[in-house]
Order: sequence, then C-alpha cells, then structure tokens
Amino acid sequence: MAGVARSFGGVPAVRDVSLDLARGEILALLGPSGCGKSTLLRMVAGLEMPDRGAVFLDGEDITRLPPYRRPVNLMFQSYALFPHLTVAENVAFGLRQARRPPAEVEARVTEMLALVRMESFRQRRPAQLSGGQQQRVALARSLARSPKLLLLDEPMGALDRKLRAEMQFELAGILRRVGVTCMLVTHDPEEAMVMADRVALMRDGELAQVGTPAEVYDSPRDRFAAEFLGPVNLFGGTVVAGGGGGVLTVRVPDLGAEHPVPAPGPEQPGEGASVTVAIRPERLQLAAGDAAARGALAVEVAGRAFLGTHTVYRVRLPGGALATVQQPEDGSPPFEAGRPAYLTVDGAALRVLAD
Amino acid sequence: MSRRWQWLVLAGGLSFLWLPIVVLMVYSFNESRLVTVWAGFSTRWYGELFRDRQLIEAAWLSLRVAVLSASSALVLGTMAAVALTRYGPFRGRAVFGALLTAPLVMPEIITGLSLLLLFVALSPFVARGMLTLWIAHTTFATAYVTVVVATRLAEFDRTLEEAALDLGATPFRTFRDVTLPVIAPALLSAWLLAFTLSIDDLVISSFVTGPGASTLPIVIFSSVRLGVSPKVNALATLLVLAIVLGAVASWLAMRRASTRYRAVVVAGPK
Repeated sequence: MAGVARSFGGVPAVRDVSLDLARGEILALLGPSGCGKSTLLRMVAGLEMPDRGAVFLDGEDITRLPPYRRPVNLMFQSYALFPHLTVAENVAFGLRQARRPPAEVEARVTEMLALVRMESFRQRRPAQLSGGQQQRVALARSLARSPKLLLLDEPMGALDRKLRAEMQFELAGILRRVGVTCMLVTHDPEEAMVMADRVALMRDGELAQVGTPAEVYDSPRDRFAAEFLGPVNLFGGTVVAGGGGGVLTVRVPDLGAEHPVPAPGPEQPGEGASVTVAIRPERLQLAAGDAAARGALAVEVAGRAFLGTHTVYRVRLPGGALATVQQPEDGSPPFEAGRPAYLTVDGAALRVLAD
Repeated sequence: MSRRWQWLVLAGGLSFLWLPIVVLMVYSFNESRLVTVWAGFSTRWYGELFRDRQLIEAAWLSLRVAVLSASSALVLGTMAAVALTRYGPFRGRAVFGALLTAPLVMPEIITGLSLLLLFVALSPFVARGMLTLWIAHTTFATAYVTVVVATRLAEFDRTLEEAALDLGATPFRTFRDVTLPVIAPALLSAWLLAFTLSIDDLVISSFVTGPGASTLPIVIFSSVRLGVSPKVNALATLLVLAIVLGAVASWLAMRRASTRYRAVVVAGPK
C-alpha cells in the first residue's frame, strides 16, 4: 500500500502510510486506540475508501474495488457471525456467494471446521457458542474463500484474559499452517509479539516503527516506541564521541559511566548533543555482594513487587534518579527495601532514542 | 400497603380494562335474544353468525383489505425505514421522518375526510370500494410499519452487513441474505400490527368506502344502531380471540428475535 490517507470530517485518521507485506507473512498493526490502525485495515478490506493513495494486491490496484470483489477477507472484532445461520452455513456463506458447486462447498466447510476443531458444532447457532468457539467459527468463515490476504481486527478483543493467551498461540499456529498472508490489528504489544512476524507500530495515523518484534522491542526508535512495547528506563545523556560504525559514545550521568551505544538512525547526533538513552528493566541486574570492582553501581532499594516469574524493584541511583529493575525469580533471597545493593548495566542493551 | 390491598388494586385495574370484554364474551354464549338477559348457555348465535351472508361477506372483505394493505404497507414502510436509518443525515431527513410518522398522531377523522376528498376528485378514474379501502389503509399502516422497522434497523449491527460484503455478497444479496432474515421477526410483527389496524378501522373506512363494500366494523357499527344482536357478541368474541392470537404471535416473534440477537451481537461473545 502506498501513501494511503483517510480523514473523517477533516480529522485525519490515517496519513500517508506506506507498508509492504511479504507473501505468507503475519504483520501486526500495533498502536493505542485512535491511532488509525483499524481505519487502515478497513481501507484494505474495502469498507473505507482512502482519500489519497492506493492499495495494491499482487501488483494489482484494488483501491476502488468494492469489498465483495476483493480477494481479501476480514475477521471482525465482534466476529459478526450471522445469527440466523448455523455454524456450517456461516462458513459456507462466502463460498455460496461465489456460487461454488454444493459438493465443493460441503467439502470446504468440513475442511475449515476441522482446521479450527469445530466439526461437532456444525448445526449450532452462533448464540449457542462460547466466545472462543465463536472466534474459531469466524476464523473458519474468513479462511473458507482462501483469501490472498486475511485481515484480523483485534482478534482477541472479545475474549477474556486467560483464553486470550491460549488462543494467541493457537490462532497464530493455524494461520502459519494455512500459510495465509495476514494483517492483524491490536493494541496489545504482547499479542502483536506472540502472533506476528513483523510489527508495524502506529501513532497518530502514521507508522512509528516497523520491524520484527525483537527489533521493535530491543531497539525502539523513539520514546513512544520504547514505552508502548513495555516498561523501560530512560536516562538523559550526552554524546561524547560520534565514533565510527554507527556507534556513539554516550555519557550517562545516572549510570555513572560512558557507554558505547548504537546510533538511532542515519542522522547521528553530533558531539555534545544531549540524547535520551533507554534500557529495558530486565537488562539491569541487582547483586547483593560488593561487585563494584566490576563496574557495578551502589544503589538503594526503594521498593519491590513480587510477580511470580520475576520481581520488579525500584532502585535509587547514586544521582538520586529512580530506575526499574526486573530480576528473574530464581529462589535467591529478595533485596529488602531501604537496603543497599549493586546494580550492573548490560551496556549492550542501551539504546539512544531519536527525538 | 398490605399484600391484600395490592391484590385488590391489581384486580380493580384489570377488571376496569378487561371486564367489559369478558362480559361480552360470556354473553356471546347466551341463549336469549336479549343481549342483557342471561337465559342459559348456547352456541346458537355462532351458528346464526355463520348463516348471516352480510356479516360473512363483510368479514371476507375486511380480511382481504387487511392482508393487501398490511403487505403493501410492509413494503413501503420497510423501504422508508431503510432510507431513514441507512442513508445518513441526508437533506430533508428530519422532514421526511416527520411526514412519514405524522399519520400516527393525525386525527383519523381528518385523514378519512382528506382521503374522501381525494377519492371524490379521482372518482372518474377510481370507483370507491375495495381499492380505495386498500389505498387508505396502506397510508396509515405504512407509518406504523416504518416506526417498527426503523427501530429494529437502528439497533441492527452494521458489521453483519459488512461481513457479508466482505465475504463476497453484493449489496443486494447482503440485504436479501443477511439484513432481511435478521430483521424478519420485526417485519412479521409490523405486518401483524398493520393487519390488526386495518381489520378494526372504522372511521377512515366509512369515509373512503363505496356502495357494496362494507367492512366488518362498518357492518357491526350500523347493525348496533338498529339494536344489538347476540350475533355481534359472537363475532366480537371471535375477533378478540384472533387479535389476541395475532398479538401473542407478534410478541413471541419479537422476543425470539431479540434474545437471539442480543445473545450474539449486543452482549457480545463472553
């Protein structure tokens, strides 16, 4: 899709977005509510017309095609199952519209229901299904026509938390087995990372960053990306030397040392420029013993929260700033609040953010 | 207030509403020729009723007019409701809505009179009779159908239609295969309402009908002025039963549709 834009009543919802999907890829459009991700999805489905720009599928311009002529199917957040039809009739709906022969429709419906493990529910009505079952039927229905591109609008939005985690893996597994190219919309970074090959982070109708989940999580381009994907520590720093190979040497007073940090992009900040440096809490490590010889910082534990798999600490750095540390729970005794501890920084995980 | 009092008040209210009809139904089984004197149980007047050609013909006419006008009102009213709810805030939408539903509050006597004047003006082309009854009943029933169907369409989940379009259904097939079946119970309910309104209309019918085309209400009303025959009680009892059956059917249809709809769409999947 190239330079797609759409406004509602003069308020731009999507501005100038260009995005490519590889065949068989699962891409997640991730962003806070109102960032334009659903509008973008609906433009690809043909349910909204872009004001500007064009949508291409396999090199063919489908921008002006009505939704019923596009080889694209959408799984709705509410599933939008037809209440007056049975599960089998819902799945068959698209095939019947395409006037496929009845025997083929029957075979395809059986195949699709087997794929989502709903064979025994053929004759049920949507109202007689649980949320998770409805989701499976909706998936089977949108895959039945073998779309070239499958769109999923907040696929887990209507499920409760526990079911959500289960279904994320299952759904991603089915999508990979079918090999269909997918674009899904979500506001949940975890969901995007579990299900997608690539994440396209959106903000205010524009793409903020596109990359694999690891790229976007580990190397956020800016403060928005860093904070949206998960908890992060941000520190002020000064560029000491703009060394070669895209590596800057940055002095971070809060972390008490100079660190080599990869530059955020092609435009490197010059020497003496002040920058923001980010590090994820799990890349900071607390130790009880005096590890100062190895470059650890003496800090004071300000608070802690036990979360089962890990414990989150708030620690006061020598300069007085607070940092969040995520310590894996390995059975070692916890650090008590108000006590000193030693903090080591995984320098390789530091990132300079673009402003 | 004690429980005894609550029951008394309830009984009082209900008998105020229903006692006259119950009395009428009881007296339809009265042996006596005098409507107000009980002379033992009999179904004699039901037999007499079915031998009364004038009444039977009037009932047959009323039935045909009601079926025809309810059906045409259903088509017109549904189209109007779709226009009102689906075409966004088009120019003159409020005026269109007001004009459509005005017959709901328009005094019947005025509607009847104006239709009579219209049909008199058209008399060289349109003979007053069943056709004019059909047209007149369609005009007021359309307003009711529009209101019922528009209410249903307003709460209709548009994503169902989007899903149908997305699955390759043209707008026409989307309407036929998804919208219509989902709102079918509301359509049935609207049709039954229009049917009932037509069956028991007296005022407008007396204005627009012509010689030889007397509907049931007209025949009953004129026969009562000459003195009530117990036959009329029998007929009224049958009518009440028919209307109650129709109302219950319509209510069941609406309820079934709305629980099914709510379970899937409004409450959302759990």
